[in-house]
Amino acid sequence: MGWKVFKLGRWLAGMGALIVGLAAVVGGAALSSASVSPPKTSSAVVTAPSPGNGSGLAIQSATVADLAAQGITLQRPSSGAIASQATVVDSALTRFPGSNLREVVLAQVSDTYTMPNVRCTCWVVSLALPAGISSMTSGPPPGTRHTTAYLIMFYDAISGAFVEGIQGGPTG
Amino acid sequence: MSPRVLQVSRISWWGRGGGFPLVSTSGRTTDVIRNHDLPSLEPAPRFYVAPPGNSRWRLSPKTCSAVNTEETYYCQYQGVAAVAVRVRLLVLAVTVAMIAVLNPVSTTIALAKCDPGRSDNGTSYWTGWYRYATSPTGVGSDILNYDPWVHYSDDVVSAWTMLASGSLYAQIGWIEYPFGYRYMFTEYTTSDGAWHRKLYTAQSVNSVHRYTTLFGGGVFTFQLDGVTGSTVPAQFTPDNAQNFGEIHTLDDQMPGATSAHETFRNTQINYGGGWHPFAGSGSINPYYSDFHYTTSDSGQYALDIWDGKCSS
Repeated sequence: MGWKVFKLGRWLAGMGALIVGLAAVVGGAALSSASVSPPKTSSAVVTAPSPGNGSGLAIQSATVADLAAQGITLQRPSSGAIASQATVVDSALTRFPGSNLREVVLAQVSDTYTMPNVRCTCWVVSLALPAGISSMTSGPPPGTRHTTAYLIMFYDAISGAFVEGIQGGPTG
Repeated sequence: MSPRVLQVSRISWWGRGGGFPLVSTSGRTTDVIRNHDLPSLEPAPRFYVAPPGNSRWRLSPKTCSAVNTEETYYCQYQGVAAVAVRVRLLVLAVTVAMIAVLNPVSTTIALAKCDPGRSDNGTSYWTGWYRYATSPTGVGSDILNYDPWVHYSDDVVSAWTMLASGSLYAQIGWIEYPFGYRYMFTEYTTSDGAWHRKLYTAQSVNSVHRYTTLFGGGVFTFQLDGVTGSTVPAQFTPDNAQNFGEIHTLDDQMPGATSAHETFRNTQINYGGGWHPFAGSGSINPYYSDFHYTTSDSGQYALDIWDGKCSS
């Protein structure tokens, strides 16, 4: 049945091409645009703090200790962004298909573990991995259970370029 | 390993309530066609793909599964991943018409991933070698950036150098997530058992780079081609060094193929104040007959690993 229906679909395609004409192009363009939209983000916390005084900035999806273990501190940004939030969120979600946005925030980011140190006004995009891949056995063989508690991607707020990402959590 | 060109698999679906082919056209490794509601269809549509050559539609050899609540279906075929989702009939007809007229074939370039054809079992496997030494202070290896098959339901495939003690470790290497997203990564554990991974821009596929993990001065130092990229606090003292390829389900490809191995070259371990040939003990852990390792220099510096289910 599927093959017959498929043929019908192709026939409809040809007829549709004659009838729809230019509208098809417009419609296709609209679909193409929609195709790169990120998944639902209704549950995400979207925070865009106003430029501040460089004071500490907390996020909900990772503790200060989590970030410190990566050498990272966040502060309120001293300047705004040029790269759009939507663009970097879409990039992050594209890198991890099936994930959902947990949180996005503009921050002054410092990473003193990376050499040379990272200091940027960055979009901080926090994602939630699909449940099926949020816990894996890893490390030196035979491995221990690794659970992902946070997955955060950093994007330069000026250029929109990927800077680095962090992922981590408890083991055992 | 030479790259080969594959055509994007075109994806269609049909269900009890309709049968209109939906074609992915974005030309990216991951094709996404926006989700909309389409009532009265089977909950699990069957997927068809147009294989390289693009001659006829065939039933997808793999089951496409919904992975989130948006009814987005991930399919993988011949090294090319695609996503098909339900759309409204009107939009669907317009899309098909557009493709029939404007863009009958989409193409892209994909490197030679190989679906080993095994089922997802959620078990991790390592293939490589290790060596215990008194107070090792470094391990380095020139590792090929192999481009493996990473099943969408897995998280990563990787290859790396590591200093370790028990379950605590510090490592650097390449890592690949599903749909071809690659990074250089560093990862280490703290004494509380927590793991901390950092992702950086990847080295190019098929390039060879030296990944080095050092221990000393209270820190682990990670180097790429001899240049320090990061340091992290050391909360354990390593007693062994390792080089492995790692997968987290049998549905993934262990890095390497029978005629295109994943290679670790000029592999060395530092202890006693100097660098020495790694000369490790080979290991497949847990053992699985598809996975292999060998050395080409009597086990001194060179390690090859591969997945026997993959030829190239």
